[in-house]
Amino acid sequence: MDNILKISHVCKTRGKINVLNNVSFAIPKGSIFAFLGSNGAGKSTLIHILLKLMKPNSGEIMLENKLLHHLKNDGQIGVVFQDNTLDEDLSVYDNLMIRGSLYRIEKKRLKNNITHIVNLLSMESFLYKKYGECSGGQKRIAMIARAIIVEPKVLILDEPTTALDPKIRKTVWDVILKLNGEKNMTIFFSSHYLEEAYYAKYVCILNRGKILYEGETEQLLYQNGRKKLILKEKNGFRELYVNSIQEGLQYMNHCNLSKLVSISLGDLSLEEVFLKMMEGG
Amino acid sequence: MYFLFIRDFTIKAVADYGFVSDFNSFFVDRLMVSGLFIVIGATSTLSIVAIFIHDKCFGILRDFCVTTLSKVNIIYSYIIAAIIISTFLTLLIYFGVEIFFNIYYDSFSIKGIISACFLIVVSNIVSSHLIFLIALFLPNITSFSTFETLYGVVIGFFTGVYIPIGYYPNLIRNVFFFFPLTQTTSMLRQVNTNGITPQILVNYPKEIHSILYETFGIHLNFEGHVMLFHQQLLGIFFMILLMQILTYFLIQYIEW
Repeated sequence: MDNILKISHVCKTRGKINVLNNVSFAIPKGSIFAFLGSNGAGKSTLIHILLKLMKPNSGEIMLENKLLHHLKNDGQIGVVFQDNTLDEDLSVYDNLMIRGSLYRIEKKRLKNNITHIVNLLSMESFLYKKYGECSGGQKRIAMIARAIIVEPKVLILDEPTTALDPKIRKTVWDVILKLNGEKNMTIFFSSHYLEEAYYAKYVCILNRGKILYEGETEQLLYQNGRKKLILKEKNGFRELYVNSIQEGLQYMNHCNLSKLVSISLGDLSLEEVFLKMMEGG
Repeated sequence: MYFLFIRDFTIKAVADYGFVSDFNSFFVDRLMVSGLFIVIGATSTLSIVAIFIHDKCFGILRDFCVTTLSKVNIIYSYIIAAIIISTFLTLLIYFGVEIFFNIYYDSFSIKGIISACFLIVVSNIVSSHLIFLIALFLPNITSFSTFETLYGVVIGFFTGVYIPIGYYPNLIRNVFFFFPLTQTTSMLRQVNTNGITPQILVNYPKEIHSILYETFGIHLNFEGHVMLFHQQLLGIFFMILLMQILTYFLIQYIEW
């Protein structure tokens, strides 16, 4: 698969702190790519570099084989920031028109784009509502609409569902998946909610500016010990990580079964994998 | 506030320097409102800076930066908005005051009005550039509030609105001399008191005219040299140019 974005050896320092230390990875075209890391890992810094809001100290970023920092900001990369930044006093439609005009798009084309996006994201019910009066979910969808108004090749979402309730998170993700599925838009997102990484085919885990893992999400789960064995005994419980059911059964053969109350053998969650990596990393 | 707290004190100060005439109160009114116009322009600029800081803190600036707009475009949009709004407000008050003066003192000069309007525009251009130059370094709303309070107080002293500039020690006066708004206040005072000062000074020897001009901030004296109007104007244009260059280079290096 072709890579749409290629990040090579990117370093960024702030004062004496290495915020990003030789970060390299590639984002395949049309994929959903999760960018995970704890607070202060350097996620937002890299996103800011991708958006040309910051310059890296070294390294290079290629967008479709062209140096990103030589390209104009013409909307090839769309972004949804964590904060709602649209004008609360204007309707969603007016906000979209104004933000679209900042990209110097012809008015007719802009109107057509808005009509298309409104249909795609099912925004008819709140299109003429004041942005400030929209629900949390509607605001997020309006922010996504704002980001894709110029039909970007890559959509970057910086913690898109932070502070949203689970129902709204689901709605937002339905929209994101629809964009990826129907428009083949490359999605690159950072998130604190590790379960959201399941939506992604590829994942990159960053810790203190260094990459701990980069590759397929499935592979990440497998290579870190995919099963968790919990043995509940009369006087407590034991937790073990095993690579297969057979390995779990072999372990149980050595246990005193009369002391066991219950046994459970299940998949390791991404959160557990993430925490294990952080402890090691 | 001016009528309540400063007017009588300043009229008495003019008389204390030995200048007694029927025009003293009109002179002081013209003198003091000239300073107030500069202060009004400078403080109304702060309202746009408040929006700028808000937009910076809430990620709206960053949101603009990812569009085709350059950082220079974005910052200059705020600066131009500040110039337009502060000029509009100052001119509104200026014309209100002019109507008042025409009713009570019967003073009308079209040349004076055009010159004053021009100086108000120039002053607000300087003020907006100056404030935005500082605002680029203000990281959040709290720091802006502190700056706003300090600036609001200090600007009154710098322009000689609270206390006539001649009352300050030499060192302070020399420092104020380099503050662009002190210069624009002096220029506006020259324009606004142009028809009155000769009438006050008519019976006084030339040697003491400078006392009235320099004590009350009409002329600015730096180490014995009095700046002429055209020199002040050139200085102001140079300051605007300098601040534009500085703003341009700072914008390139500031990361939001």
